[in-house]
Amino acid sequence: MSMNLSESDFLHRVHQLDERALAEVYDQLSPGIFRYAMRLLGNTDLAEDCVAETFSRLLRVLHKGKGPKDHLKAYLYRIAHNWITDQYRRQPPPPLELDEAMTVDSGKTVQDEVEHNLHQERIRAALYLLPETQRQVIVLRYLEGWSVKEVAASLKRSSGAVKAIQNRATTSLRKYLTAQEENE
Amino acid sequence: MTHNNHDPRLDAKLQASLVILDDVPEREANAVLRGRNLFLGEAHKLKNSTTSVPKRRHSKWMERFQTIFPFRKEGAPVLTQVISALLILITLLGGAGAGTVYAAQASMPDDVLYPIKTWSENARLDLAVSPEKDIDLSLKFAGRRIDEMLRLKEEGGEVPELLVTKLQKHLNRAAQLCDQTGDPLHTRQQMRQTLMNQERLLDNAPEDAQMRRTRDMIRQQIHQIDQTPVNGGALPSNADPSASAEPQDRDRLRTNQPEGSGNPDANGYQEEQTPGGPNANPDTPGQQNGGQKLQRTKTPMPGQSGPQQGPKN
Repeated sequence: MSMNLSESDFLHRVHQLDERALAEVYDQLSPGIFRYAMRLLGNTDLAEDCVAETFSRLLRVLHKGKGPKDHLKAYLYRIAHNWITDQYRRQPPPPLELDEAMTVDSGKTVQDEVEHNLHQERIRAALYLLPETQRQVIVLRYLEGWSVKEVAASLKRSSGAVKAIQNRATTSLRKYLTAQEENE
Repeated sequence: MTHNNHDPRLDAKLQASLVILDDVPEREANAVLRGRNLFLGEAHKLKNSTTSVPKRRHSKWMERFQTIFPFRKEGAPVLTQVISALLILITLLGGAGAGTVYAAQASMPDDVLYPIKTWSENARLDLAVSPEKDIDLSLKFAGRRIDEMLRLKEEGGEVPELLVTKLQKHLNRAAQLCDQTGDPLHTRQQMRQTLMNQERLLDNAPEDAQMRRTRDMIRQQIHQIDQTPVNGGALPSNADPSASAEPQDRDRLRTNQPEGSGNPDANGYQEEQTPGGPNANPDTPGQQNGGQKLQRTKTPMPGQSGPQQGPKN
């Protein structure tokens, strides 16, 4: 995130629960967290819940005098990812309602929208067949566009380890998607 | 957001598949505003209830003093730690211990009150009136240890090794007492379900050697339950674990209850479960202490005996 002050000064203000700093964090990072949750959950309400819970957890941690010393963005995505994984285990997200699908893009036919949503669900299903860390690497690298270094900071792994996980993840994902196609 | 970080190893087909998920609807402006206001409102509330905790270096005499209280809040000022420690002693000695013990229940391993929490847990285990209650408590406390691990990890902290040791003790204790209950099969089934819930919770933790070891520990316990003969039958080690049970018992042992059917709480433990009835089958193979049994009449505290048990709090 772009900040006027250095990252450490900014983080210091965040740790002090400075309202302006927190507002900046929310404004800059909540859209990304929302997109991230939407891609994995495919449900607007759940994605909003994820954003709310992620930022609320950040506050609770800061209030206890803890929290990230650096990589605030990576820290928030980690919280969000844990929440999403937990949510998915408790209850897989319901399929999109037809009405909702119809309002996504009025230029498409209902059938197009339904097929598009089905396709999205298939990709999500394949992603959820991956081990948690592999899934996280795929989503952060290829959907969120993070660098290997950023992903490594988020996962608390080395860059080399992230690359290795990425290789395994792409191989597995390719295999799952091929198997899906063969079953159709 | 688009794929602005392409990798040549990501072939066009896979890339095209992932592009599908790029299609995310715009976030509603009202939802953004509502979420922002809630967040800042919560921050404002917390800030008004916050006292800043400056970091201080420990002096040597303080380090010696802190050995009395092995879990301490690293970030707390020295004076605060001394006062907290003295308050604990005074309140305990002065008869106001109940309030302190109550307050300690929400403490974390790096809090000053944490030793009180574990002390009170040990006392409750000692006072358990039946094997069922003992197992009940042991699994509950195992869930607490897992919850503490996850919270520490989430906050970016390190998990003290002692926490893993304590978890192992709780699990061992519960496993050892299983056959002393009136319905060992039911008890094992309940225990298995609880352990599976706990294992699922651990899947959320960032992967590292310690978390993997903890998960393996729980899986090992589940495996032991699956391998334990029911109704005292002598099964070979590779036999079907439910072979000696009555048909309905085999079904019960093998059935994985659907997630949520037992309404597990946040730490994966069902607070209300109470396997019941008197009876005992003292031979549970495969325990990590070599089959040594806990006896209700002389129950050693975790950490006081057994080849695997570590130092007491």
